[in-house]
Amino acid sequence: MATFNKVNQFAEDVYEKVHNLGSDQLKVALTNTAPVATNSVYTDLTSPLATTNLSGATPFNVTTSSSAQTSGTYKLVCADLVLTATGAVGPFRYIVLYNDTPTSPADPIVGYYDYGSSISLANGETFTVDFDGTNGVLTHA
Amino acid sequence: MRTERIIAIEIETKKAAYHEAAPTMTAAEQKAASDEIKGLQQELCDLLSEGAKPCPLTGDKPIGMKVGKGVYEVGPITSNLRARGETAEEAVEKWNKGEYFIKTEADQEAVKAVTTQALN
Repeated sequence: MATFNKVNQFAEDVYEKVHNLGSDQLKVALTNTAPVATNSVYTDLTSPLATTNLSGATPFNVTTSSSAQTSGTYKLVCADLVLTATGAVGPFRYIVLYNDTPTSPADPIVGYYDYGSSISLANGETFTVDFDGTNGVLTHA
Repeated sequence: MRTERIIAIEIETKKAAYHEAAPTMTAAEQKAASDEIKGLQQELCDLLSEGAKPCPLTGDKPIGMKVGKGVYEVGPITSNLRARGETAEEAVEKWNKGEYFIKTEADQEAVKAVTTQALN
């Protein structure tokens, strides 16, 4: 499974009322150019793919299942996201998780997954962004 | 009882409204909208884990979630134990029988801990 890398700014944004991960709309962005730790918002990304040739009205929207702490450990749990191609999609290697709700800063990045090599989808193929179910996208103790 | 589909649609609708209005909402309004969405998410998690026994490692109540098309998962947020099924009911059944889903090393460690606990 790809490793999750948080971006530096997220560590500050979490403590300065930028995110409400329990109800904000999280989204993914697909890019073939490596994000760097100093990227902080969606517009910092290089050539993120459009939703062209992906099925569904909002193919990049992530479903949050749980955002809660227990005994001081916070965990964000999201459902896997299945992208279904209706034509050629890609290539992309990095899946970036960002928050689409805040407007200042707009679309702050949480972090990204590196899948190790570029991926392209043909018509009818699917790609699952594995958020690792109840193990969570991220935890904070 | 409300169904998975009805709750999921309500979450989607409320979330879209919150997303649109969030920039102009007061802090109190944002909190109220957020609490409402989180309440619905909890309702869905509870529905999809109905009948699940507490976690044998932590004693906490598991949550249920649809992780993909035809894949449901049951597990607590406090341990790495989890079970999967093609329906929520099947996932709960497997969870209650101790038929855990293993994908990562952390899952493997959690299952090992349950086995060790049972032996002691």
